[in-house]
Amino acid sequence: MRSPQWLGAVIKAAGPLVGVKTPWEGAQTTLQAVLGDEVPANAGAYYSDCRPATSLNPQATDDGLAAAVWAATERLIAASPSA
Amino acid sequence: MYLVTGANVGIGYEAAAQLARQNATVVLACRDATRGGNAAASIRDAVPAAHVETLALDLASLASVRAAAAEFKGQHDRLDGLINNGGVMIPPYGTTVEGVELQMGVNHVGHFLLTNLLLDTLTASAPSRVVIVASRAHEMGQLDAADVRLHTPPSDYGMGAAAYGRSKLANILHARELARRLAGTGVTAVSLHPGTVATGAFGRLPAVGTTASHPPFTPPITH
Repeated sequence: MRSPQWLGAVIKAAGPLVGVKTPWEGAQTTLQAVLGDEVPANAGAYYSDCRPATSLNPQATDDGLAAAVWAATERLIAASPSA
Repeated sequence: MYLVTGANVGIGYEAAAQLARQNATVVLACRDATRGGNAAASIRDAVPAAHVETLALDLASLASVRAAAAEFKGQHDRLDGLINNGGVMIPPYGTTVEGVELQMGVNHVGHFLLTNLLLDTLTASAPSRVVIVASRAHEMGQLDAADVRLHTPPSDYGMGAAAYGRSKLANILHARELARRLAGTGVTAVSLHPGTVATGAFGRLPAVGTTASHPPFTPPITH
């Protein structure tokens, strides 16, 4: 489902004013996470703007929840017909 | 050697193009073979020396994920970085082949299986990385450790924003648990918020810049 062309034009014009990034800008945090020398020291972190984010939804740093979601995902895959 | 899912547009495309510019071999894993091929051709146009390959991957099918992982491992014995970038955001309600709500199925479950299937190659290639593209939208997501519901039925879907948020929360938690399990292996897992990005949903994307061959803030490939 594509948005109308005029909406793209509006976002292109207004984007920088409200913090919308271009795809190239958006790729920079990914590239930092893939290539940055400091990343192994931040294993498991959630990066934003090319550095580990400090304020996070408490659920996103809940190790018990992380383990539970891992187990649930494994169960779901194991129970899938093509597994 | 890097594998990028959803590499035909947007952030995935730009990241793949930059890795190619830095002389890495990049595998573009895309659902649509034509779009994947077009993206590879576009990167080769911008970076004539680029080593770019394509791989058919439909994250909404675990059979496709298994086939893609097998094909990759049949051709390559090295993987320096797996970039789980592909995804869907607030589509009309749908499910994967296996019947899981599409956003959780594609954004999290398909990538979870892909990552597990490639872990031995990543470990053998250490130091290596697993990078999971999540989103600030994870703040809209809720998951209960006592009763983890990955599937969302149509009756609870609404516009799909809560299910999207849950899938992105699952992405962040996946990186966190993966990092814990991979401690000491030399494989580093992290997640990220790319920012609010105007992607392919908003019309034509700009071509890959050919002049800024090494953007000042892209780190060099050192591993």
